[in-house]
Amino acid sequence: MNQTAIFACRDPLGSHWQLGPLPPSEGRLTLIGWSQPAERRDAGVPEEVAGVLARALTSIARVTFPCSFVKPVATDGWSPMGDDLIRMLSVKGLGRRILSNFRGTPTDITLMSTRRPETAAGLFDDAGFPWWQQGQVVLLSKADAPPPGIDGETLLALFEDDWTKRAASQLAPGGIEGILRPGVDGDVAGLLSLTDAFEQVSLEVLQRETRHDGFDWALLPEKAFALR
Amino acid sequence: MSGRRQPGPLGGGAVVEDIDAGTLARIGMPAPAFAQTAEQVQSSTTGPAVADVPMAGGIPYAVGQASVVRIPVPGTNGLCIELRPRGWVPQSGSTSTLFFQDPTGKRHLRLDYGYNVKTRTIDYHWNQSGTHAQFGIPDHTPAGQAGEVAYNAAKYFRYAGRVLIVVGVAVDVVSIVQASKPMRRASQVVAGWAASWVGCKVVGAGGAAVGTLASPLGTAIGGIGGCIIGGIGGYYAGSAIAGEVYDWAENTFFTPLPEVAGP
Repeated sequence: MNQTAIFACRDPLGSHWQLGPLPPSEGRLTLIGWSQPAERRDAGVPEEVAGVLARALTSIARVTFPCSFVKPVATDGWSPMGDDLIRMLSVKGLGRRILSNFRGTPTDITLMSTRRPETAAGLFDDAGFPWWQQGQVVLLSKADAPPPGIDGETLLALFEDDWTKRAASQLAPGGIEGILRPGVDGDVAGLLSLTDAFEQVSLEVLQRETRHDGFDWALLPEKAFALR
Repeated sequence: MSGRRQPGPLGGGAVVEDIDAGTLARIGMPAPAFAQTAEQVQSSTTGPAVADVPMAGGIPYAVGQASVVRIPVPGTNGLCIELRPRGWVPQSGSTSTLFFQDPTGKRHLRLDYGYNVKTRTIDYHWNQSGTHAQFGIPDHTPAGQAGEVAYNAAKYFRYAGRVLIVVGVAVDVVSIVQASKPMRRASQVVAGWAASWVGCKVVGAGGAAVGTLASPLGTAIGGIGGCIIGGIGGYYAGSAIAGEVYDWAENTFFTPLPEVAGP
C-alpha cells in the first residue's frame, strides 16, 4: 500500500470491535477503518482521515456530539456559536449530581451541533470525550432539520453495550438517522444506520470524499477488513 | 501554662504509649476491683491502655495516596503517572489501567488489555499518542508478561488505594478524638496529609526519573514506589514539625508593651 486508504465493512459480527452485540437488533452497522503507508506511531484518527469523515458526515447529516472544546453555556436550549449550535445537558438535582459523580458520569455535557466539517473534525480530537478511549458518540440527524432533542440520560445510554437497541427505539422517532461510535481503541468507527437509505447514502458519500482526497477506498468482508 | 506540660496519666502502673512527645492518648482507668489477682490487675491495666492508644493513619494514607496523586515524570514535558484516564471514558470504553498523561489526557501512554489491531489478537499492549519521543514506544506495542503483571497490579491498586485512604483518614480522625490535646493532634494530622502529598510528588518524581532509565514500567514502579516512600516520610515529618510548632505557639507569650501617653 502506498497511500492512505479508508475501508468499510458492512454487517460485522466480531465482538472484539467493542461495539456491543453484533449484528444490531435494529438498523445496520458498518465498520469504517483506515490505514496509512507509513506505520502510525500515534493512536487516534489521522488528521487527513478525520477530514474525510467530517466532510462525509456533514454533507449528509447534521452532526451532533458532546464536546469539551467550547465554553459551556448555562442554557437548556440550543444557542448559536458562530455557524454552529451548542447546548448544555445538565443532571438536575443535587442528589442526582452527587450520584453521577459517584458513578463517574459527567454531570454537565456540552453538545455541539454542526453542518461544518471543520467543527465536526474536532470530535476525533477532543480530550474531554476521547475518541481513542471510546468516550465519544455522534448523532446524525436530517441535514435540514434543527438539532435533535435529547436528554443526558439518553445520550449516556448510547455508551452502553445495548446502544443499537436504544438508538432505534428512543432516537429514531426524533429524526436521528444514524449514530457513529468509536470501536476498539478508536482504531475503527461503527456507523449504525437506522434506515437502509441512510446506509446507502453514507457509503456513497464516504467513497466520494475518500476518492476526492486521492485516497484508496474499498468495501471489504470482515476478515479482510481485520487484516487491512 | 507557660513552660508546663500536661501531667501524664496517674496510677495503675499503666503503660501508655505517646502519640508523640506532646500528645498522649487518653486512657481509661480500670474500675475498682475487690478480688483480683496480681496478674489480673496487670492485664486489666495495661490491656485497655494499650488498646486505647490511637494510631496515626500515615501509612495507609500515604500508600493509598499513590493511587490518586498525579506523580510527575521529569523530562517529559508535563506527563504524570496516574491510574485513571483523563476525560470521560464510559464503562464500555477503554480498559487501560496505567497512564502516563498530560493534564488533558491528549498526550498519553497507557497500558491496555484487549483486541490489538496490530497483532490481531487480544493481548496486553501499549497505546500512545504524542509520547513516542519520551518513551520510544509506538501505538499498539505488546507489553509482554511484565505488562500483564503491571496491568493487573494497577487495576487492583486503583481501588485498594482508595480504600487505604479512607482507612488512613478514619484512623487519623479517631486519633484526634482520642488525643489529650485534640487541637494539637488535628494540626499534626492536617500537616501530615499536606506534607505527605508534597513528599509523594517530590520523591515520586525522583523515583520516576530513575525508573525511566529502564522502561515505562520502571517509570511506574519508581514513581509509585517513590510516592509511597515520600508520602510516608512526608506525613511523619509534617506531623512532627506541626507538633513542635504547636508546642512553641502554645508556650509562647507575648508581653504587651506598656501604654505611654502621647507627647
